Amino acid sequence: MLLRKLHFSTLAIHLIFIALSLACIAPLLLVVSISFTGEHSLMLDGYHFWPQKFSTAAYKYVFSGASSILNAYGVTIFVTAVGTLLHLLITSMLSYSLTRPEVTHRKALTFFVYLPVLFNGGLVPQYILLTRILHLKDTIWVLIIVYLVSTVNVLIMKNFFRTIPDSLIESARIDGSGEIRTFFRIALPLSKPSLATIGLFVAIAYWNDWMTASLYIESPKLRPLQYLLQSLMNNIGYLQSNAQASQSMESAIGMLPSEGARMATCVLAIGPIILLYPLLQKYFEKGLTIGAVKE
Amino acid sequence: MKKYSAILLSVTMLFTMLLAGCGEKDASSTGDSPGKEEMTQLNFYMMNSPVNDFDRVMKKANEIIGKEMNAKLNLILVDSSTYAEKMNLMINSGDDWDLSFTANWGGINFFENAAKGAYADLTDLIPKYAPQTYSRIPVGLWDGVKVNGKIYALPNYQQWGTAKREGFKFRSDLAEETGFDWKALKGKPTIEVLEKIGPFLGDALAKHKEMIGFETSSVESLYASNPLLWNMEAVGDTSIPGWINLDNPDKVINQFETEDFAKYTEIMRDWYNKGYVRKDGATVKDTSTDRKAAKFVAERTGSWPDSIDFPGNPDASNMSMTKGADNAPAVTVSTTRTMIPAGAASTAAIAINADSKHIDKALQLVELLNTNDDLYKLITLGEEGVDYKYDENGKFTMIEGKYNFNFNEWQIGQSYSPDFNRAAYDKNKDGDIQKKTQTMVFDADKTAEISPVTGFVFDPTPIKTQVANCAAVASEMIPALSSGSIDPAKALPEFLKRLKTAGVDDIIKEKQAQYDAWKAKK
Repeated sequence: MLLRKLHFSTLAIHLIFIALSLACIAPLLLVVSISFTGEHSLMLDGYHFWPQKFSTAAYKYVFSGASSILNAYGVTIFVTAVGTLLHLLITSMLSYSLTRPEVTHRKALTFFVYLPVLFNGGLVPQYILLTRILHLKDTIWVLIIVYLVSTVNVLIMKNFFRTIPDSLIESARIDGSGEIRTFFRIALPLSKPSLATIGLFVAIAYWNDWMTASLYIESPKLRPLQYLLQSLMNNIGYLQSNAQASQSMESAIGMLPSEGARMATCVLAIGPIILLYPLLQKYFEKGLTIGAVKE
Repeated sequence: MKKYSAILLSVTMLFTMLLAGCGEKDASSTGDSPGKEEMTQLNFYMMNSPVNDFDRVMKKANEIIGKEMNAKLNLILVDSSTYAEKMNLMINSGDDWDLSFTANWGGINFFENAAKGAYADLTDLIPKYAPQTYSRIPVGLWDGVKVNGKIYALPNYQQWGTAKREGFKFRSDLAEETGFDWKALKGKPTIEVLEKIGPFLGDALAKHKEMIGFETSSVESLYASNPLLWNMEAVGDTSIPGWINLDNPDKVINQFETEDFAKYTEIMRDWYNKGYVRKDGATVKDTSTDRKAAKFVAERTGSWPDSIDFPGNPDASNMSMTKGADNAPAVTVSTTRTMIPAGAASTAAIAINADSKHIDKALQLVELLNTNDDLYKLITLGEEGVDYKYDENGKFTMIEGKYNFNFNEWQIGQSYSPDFNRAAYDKNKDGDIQKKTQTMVFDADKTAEISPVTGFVFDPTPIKTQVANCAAVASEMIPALSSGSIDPAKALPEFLKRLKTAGVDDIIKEKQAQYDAWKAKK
């Protein structure tokens, strides 16, 4: 009796989760399918999980400036990889230092890190700082530096480092390990889960960022993927809303795969980054509870 | 021990600075290259999506510019979604730019920036450095880019003219089938037009059940977005209450309190009940799918001359967005007067940075772009034979995957030219007809009446709250009233009452006061 009941509840739970997973996966599949459907077929038949009329026109349109898309992938991958690494390095170093009792004025420094959450300088001062003082406008570094330190991540890491017993660090010290060595050999390996969690969030933030590029990047070869895709979609929208303005424009618009292109850009945008999830999943469970318990 | 941790912290900071240093080097090294030949580099910011083969064409363009005026044009394309924000940031932070596209819409704030002193005062310089640009543009348009009597921008006068004349477009095959006398609508007031269109829509839909009678959407209201159609003109922003009637141009009124609006909402309700318009017209945003599928029997059009004044006008010969399909022949009839709207000049213009070191050179560049047809065509269309060609019938065709300026030519200069040499005209009969159409438009531009509001800039600061409140009420109610999805007998009084509560009277009063003061000064 008990066994059967248990069985039933497991089944129910499984069913619920299967339904949940389907709810997550189905839209994604639909997006992929739409991106491969001809525009005319979309207009007449609507959306289907399997393309009624297979077409790669949407991808052809998106890749019509193929070199710029590939270049943009390069920029985005570089920014995401370098940005995430630097972000993790700086965040962990900063938050580790802030937890060490040896550092004087820790509290004041922590407050200094926390201050921007309360009072944000705003966009204009940021623009002045980046363009006129640091001269970062139109360089690839501007895409990275803007997101190098995030207060929230520093606080999360700080709470995590607090859970590392002081005695552990002390014993390393007694064994003759220097401060830097202790940090890289003891503290960092212990904080893999938090690094993985923050790393994933940061990587996604870098991957999806197009705003910074639109404000600070001016030369075409430095444009990241998301900026390019966003701009592509805007362009389709613009051409359609002004269809009446000119004749040559109108005939050009007839061929635009607008709905399909929207989905194709979506597929291209989530492409590589989605692979990060399975890789980092094992750290997640532990990572997400970071900072939940305070000693 | 303390020391080491402190070092760790300082290393972190040092590292950040080091990175910043890298960037600095980068920036200066790119800045060096144009300096070699003592050429002036002019940075021109505009809205555009990424353009294929941009470098190739810009190199060719700069050969011409270098030869003509010893300068180098650095055209910087900014995505339209952030263009306004970026330009305002550049202006507020004193960043380096020479020329930029400017406009009175989309947050680009031409008037505000001009009044603030961000744009160079060009009043005396234009006749000196850009004489042809000056003489080609109708005089009335220059008033539209003046702030306190000074010119702050150069309007981009376009091939399709500036004067506005509104009208309606019908499926000609259906009009014939049902015997609809569309020619009788010429010059009639809009309410009368709608009353006559109604039965036609009924007849047409009875025979073609899959079609939609008239276009409605949440973005555009036949009333609220089109003052000229109702013989009115907006004072300031079109979407905020406060228009004038063109027959009584001294008095600012609440455009929603008129008899026309009441009748209009009743007609739309009637059409909604009879199924002439989309049932979800109050919420649907994008109607391009319906357009492409040739579903509309009738729609509003701003294109003229109409099928009566100029039979065979290609812009009027098919429903919008159906050009390629060729399954939706159309006729148009214009119903309003011809007027150059107040915002016409500042809809698309070029401004020069007041802090630019090369204001004169920048102005010369605008003149060059406006008068050197080869240069303008190179930048806006690409190279003939490489990026576009004329096919065996003389039709202008773009070559796929090549340079494509995304039809943004209206931002960097005038496509108007007295000898029709600055735009993509087909080299056949179609092209000739288009030139003939445009000749009519240009002639009309010279004689068209100029909106009484031209040159007036409304400052909404004293009544900001009321404007925000009224805008909220309007954006909630207008789409529903305009698409017929709510009954105006109940909803219209409620709408007017809510506008009153939101402070519409304060807005009208403020608009009237500013308008009067401006007229007294004129």
